[in-house]
Amino acid sequence: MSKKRNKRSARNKTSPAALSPAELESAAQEAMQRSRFRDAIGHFKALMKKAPQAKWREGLAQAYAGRADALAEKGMLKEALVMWENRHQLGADAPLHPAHTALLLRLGHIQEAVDLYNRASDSLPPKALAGVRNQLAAYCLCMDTQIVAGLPPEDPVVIHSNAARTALAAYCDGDDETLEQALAAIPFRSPYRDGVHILKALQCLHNHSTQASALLAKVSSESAFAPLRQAAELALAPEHELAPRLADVDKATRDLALPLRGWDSQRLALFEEARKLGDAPSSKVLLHFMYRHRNRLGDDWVRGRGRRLLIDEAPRSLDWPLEAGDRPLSEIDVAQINAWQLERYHGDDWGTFDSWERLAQLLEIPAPPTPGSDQALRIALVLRRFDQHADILAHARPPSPTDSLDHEVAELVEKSLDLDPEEPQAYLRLIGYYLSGKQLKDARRLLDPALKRWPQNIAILTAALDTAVAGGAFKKAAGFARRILAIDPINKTARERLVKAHLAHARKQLRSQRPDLARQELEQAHSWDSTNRFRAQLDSVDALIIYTNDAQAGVSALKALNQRLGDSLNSRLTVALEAAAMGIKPQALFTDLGLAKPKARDPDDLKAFLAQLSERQDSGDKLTPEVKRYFEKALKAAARLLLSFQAMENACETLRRCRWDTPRQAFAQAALKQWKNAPAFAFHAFESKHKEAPWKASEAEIRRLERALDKADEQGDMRNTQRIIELLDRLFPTPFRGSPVPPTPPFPEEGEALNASVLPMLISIVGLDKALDMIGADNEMKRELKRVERKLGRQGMLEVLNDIMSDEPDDDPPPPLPRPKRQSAPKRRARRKRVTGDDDTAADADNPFNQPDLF
Amino acid sequence: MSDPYLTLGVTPTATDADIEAAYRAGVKRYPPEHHPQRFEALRSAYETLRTRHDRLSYELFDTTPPTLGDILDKAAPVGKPRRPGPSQFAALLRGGS
Repeated sequence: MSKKRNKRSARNKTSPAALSPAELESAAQEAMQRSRFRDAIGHFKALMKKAPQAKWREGLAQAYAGRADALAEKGMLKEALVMWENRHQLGADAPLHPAHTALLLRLGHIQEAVDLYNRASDSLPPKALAGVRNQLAAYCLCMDTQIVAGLPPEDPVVIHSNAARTALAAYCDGDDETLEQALAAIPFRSPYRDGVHILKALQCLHNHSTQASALLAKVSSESAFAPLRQAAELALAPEHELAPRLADVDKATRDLALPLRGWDSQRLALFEEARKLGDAPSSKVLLHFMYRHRNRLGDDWVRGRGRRLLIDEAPRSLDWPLEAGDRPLSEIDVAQINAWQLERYHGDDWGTFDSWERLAQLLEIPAPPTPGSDQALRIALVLRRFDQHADILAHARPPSPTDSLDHEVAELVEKSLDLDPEEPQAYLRLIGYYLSGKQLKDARRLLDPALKRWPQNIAILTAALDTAVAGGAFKKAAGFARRILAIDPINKTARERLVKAHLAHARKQLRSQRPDLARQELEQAHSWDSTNRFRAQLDSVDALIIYTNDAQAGVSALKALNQRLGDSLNSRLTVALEAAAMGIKPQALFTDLGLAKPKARDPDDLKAFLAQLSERQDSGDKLTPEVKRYFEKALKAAARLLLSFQAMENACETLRRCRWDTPRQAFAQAALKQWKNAPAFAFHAFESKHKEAPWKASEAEIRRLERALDKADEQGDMRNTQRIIELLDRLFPTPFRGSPVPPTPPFPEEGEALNASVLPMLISIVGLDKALDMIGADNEMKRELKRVERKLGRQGMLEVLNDIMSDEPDDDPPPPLPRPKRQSAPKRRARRKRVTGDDDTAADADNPFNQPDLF
Repeated sequence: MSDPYLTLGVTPTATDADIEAAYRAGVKRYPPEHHPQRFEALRSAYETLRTRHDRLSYELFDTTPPTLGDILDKAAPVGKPRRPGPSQFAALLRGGS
């Protein structure tokens, strides 16, 4: 076949002899440009036969060089050498080329290379001369001395050869002192210069990798030393780049680079085998690979790490170890893989909890663990795992029903303390949990052993302080505070907690008509407030105690206090909050004081007011309706004060946290006037207005919110995008389900398919948004339809909608799967009985890995 | 390298003292100013295995699957870097022939 094709192509070709010189020259240039050097050689030869010219001889020399390079690249070294020789025979127009010398050396024609160099060295251009010397130097560095013997003694290749060889030998022997001396003897312009850079780089490869890289970068890719540079760079390559780079280099490069990385032949062989597995081998392939090399990896390691490869595809993957020649997985292994999988993927709290609990039970089965043993610690860690991972106790608010998740988690964590009592965090989590539910007995039960074990632990002492404060044992609390301050004299937390506790107690005493006791508490609070952080609050309570005893004196005291605090919106808030906490209505109090209506003096006053509000919210102080009523008008008016974008957003956020929607709406609206369509304020404006009755939102308001959503999305504002989507989701409930205003006939009943012909009527009655909502369009579809309406008009949009509805299958989509329900206590108890071994068959049936529908 | 035992070069039976010694030796060999990535890996491995609690937690709760790199490191660990001999230089400069 190929012969026939060659004959045909040869017939089609015009003979070079038949072409004119101009045509030949043009064909030769074209062939050169296309790297068709063989054709170019033919054309130039024909030109030379017709009328020899220097430029054509030069062209022929270039064509020979090109062809020689191409042949050498293909590994046809002898053929390439013939091309170089042909080129060399062209005479002075084709001076000795460094690549010619390199090829001669590579083929072992050393004497020939030396002779050529000796003959041409006087006439070679400087660049070519440097190139040839570089080739000879690289060869001379580590091979026989034939080159040196054949060159004149004054040649630079000879002059610096001893130093270069000494340097190489010293590097290989690890004699850095001799290496440096030898390198210092080689001048910058020496043909060994690139070798010097490489040896210096290799010397600092491990300790100064950046410097080594810089040195290697000085060696050009045309240099005869470039292969050494490539190997050194491979030795420097980061681990993740190594595999693909190793695939691209020859054995000689690997043999030089890998010892520099600390690799041995065994590792290289294993690496080669691993490469055959592909770039991203599957878990199963990797597991089989591990089992193939289990003798070298160790059984325990293969089993331990191999289990991790089974998680994603369990329960299907549970047979893989058996397939790879190992024994079947134990029940503990299966339970552990199940727990890992549930924790990683399912988001099913009860399922995950049960799986860890089951693992702990299985670990206990062989023999009761000895306290302090590894097995006991292992079980304790498993028992605590779910709480640590899902952070249940920190967020739960007991007292909870006995079958609630947090209650069960607390039980497990308590059980873990029997096996491993040396874990302060477990105590702290439980104490915090019980404290949050005011279960003080339980908190104290855990505190006693914790305090005995860790008497100097600040976190435990702080928990003890909190427990004492929660129980009203202020003397005890003060004792703990002193212990904390003895260990950590600058601990603010203990002081602040005590001040707050005494303040709370003072308020309580005042409400109980015990001003004398309230004053005692206040004095205690004063004594702990060393930084005067609570000064305004304490002074307010002080004045209010006077007010409850003697109204006239109290009015004077409160007036003086208000004056001292600057009679600002912020100062009024301090007094109002304290008054409300004592059961005094702020409105009546300020009327008694004869003060004008509250008003923000300036933006700073407003900011201080909001900051105090936020701080009080953090402390858990209540914002009573009376306080809100007293400040509402003032705040609405203050919304017009010019604040920065950030300050306005903070204001809206603070008011949202306080569930104070009227002023929040005022702030959001004022901000929207200044920053039109800002997603944050559009959200606050809408939510504060329509939180209670979202169906009352007008179409225009919903569109505005949708525009804000688009803008938030464009700006990459994830927080507001998410918030607005959630808001819109609340606005558009599932069709006919949970809708506050159920449609009346002639609209279809629940579950009945909506006829497309009633759509125009439906839209005219309830509006476009609600109609789309009723047909079950999601937000994306609604936006799309609204875009269509803007482009094609209402009629066009209805046609598109009709098409969509007619394309949909008649059957209703299957209802969403019910959320996993929490199991009742009896069920769970029964299950636990089964798991503990009362009924093996039941336990097997209960094993999630025997229930394929779970995966 | 995702296996902290391999990173530190210790066995699963290593004690707290063994692990600390391996970490210190590693830091000495790979100081953070010259080998930031290696140091970070060492630090992370040390924190994962520092105490008996930590080691058992790793055994029970770490779900990171082994990588090919881990398998290589376990089966044929990287040794001390060695300087190649003159013959390896010669082979490379001779053009791989």
